Amino acid sequence: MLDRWWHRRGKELSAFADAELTGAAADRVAERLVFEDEARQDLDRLRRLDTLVAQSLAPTSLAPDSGAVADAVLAQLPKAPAPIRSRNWTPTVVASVGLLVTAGVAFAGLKRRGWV
Amino acid sequence: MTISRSQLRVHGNDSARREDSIRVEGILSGDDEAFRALVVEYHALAFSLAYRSLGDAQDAEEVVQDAFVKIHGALDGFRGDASLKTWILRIVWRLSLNRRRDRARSSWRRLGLHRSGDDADASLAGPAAESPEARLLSREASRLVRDVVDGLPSVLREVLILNSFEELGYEDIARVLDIPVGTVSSRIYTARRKLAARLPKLGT
Repeated sequence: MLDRWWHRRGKELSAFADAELTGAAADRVAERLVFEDEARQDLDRLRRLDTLVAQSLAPTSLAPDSGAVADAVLAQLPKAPAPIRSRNWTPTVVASVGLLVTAGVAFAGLKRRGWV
Repeated sequence: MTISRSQLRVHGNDSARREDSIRVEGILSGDDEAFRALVVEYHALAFSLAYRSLGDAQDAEEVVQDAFVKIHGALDGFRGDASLKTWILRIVWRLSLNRRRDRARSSWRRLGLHRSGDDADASLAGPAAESPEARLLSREASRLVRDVVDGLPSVLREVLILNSFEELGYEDIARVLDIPVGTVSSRIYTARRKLAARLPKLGT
């Protein structure tokens, strides 16, 4: 029972330190901080601990230039398939018609002379 | 008529979501510049997250580049349930965990030969060096804290790492890890207790 009570108090203080507590729970912790030395010390310890963790985990070297990284990422993207170009049939059709007409005229000329 | 803070937050979220989906649509329609802008905007955060998980700048950068390539391929699956930032961080986080797992298996790491010179020599002094905590935090102390964090059970370590970002609240952490907000709060508290018990000499 007492354990659960301590657990709830600790959990509330932890959330309060992260500014994640709202409403009645936040009011309760704020009141404790006014009247209880121990609560103030606990909050102080929590904040020191957070500072230590944040400083220890933070990158010790600068992140590479974001623009250069973006270019490198873009270069790695799979290229979109080139659009299939629709074939331009016009010259082929014109040439075929031309050939047919020439062949027809030649055939008609040969036929008129009785050679075919 | 007054608007409550929660109504404002909902409105803010809605407009952010709308911006996210417009952005995603642009990228999906083939706008490379829009994707480039997205990488530039989130790269530092993604790198920091990967670094905090892996503790190695080179590994972190490889994971981040890989993550953005995957993000580009997976954007058509972005449904907008979470913000684009959270969605991106979730992918970076998962890839970091995979890398961490692969690395743990490598004999190089098991022999302790993995600590890069850059990381070991980098100075922790910076603007924060003025605070007593920063003065206290020698390179050795920093390594000790990192080792203690590394030694925590993974469910506690991950909330602690994500909570070390000021820009991530409990709700964001819950979305990245896909767990309830109450669980995030409990785990952070437990992680802090364990950490404080293991670091009694560092002023905690």
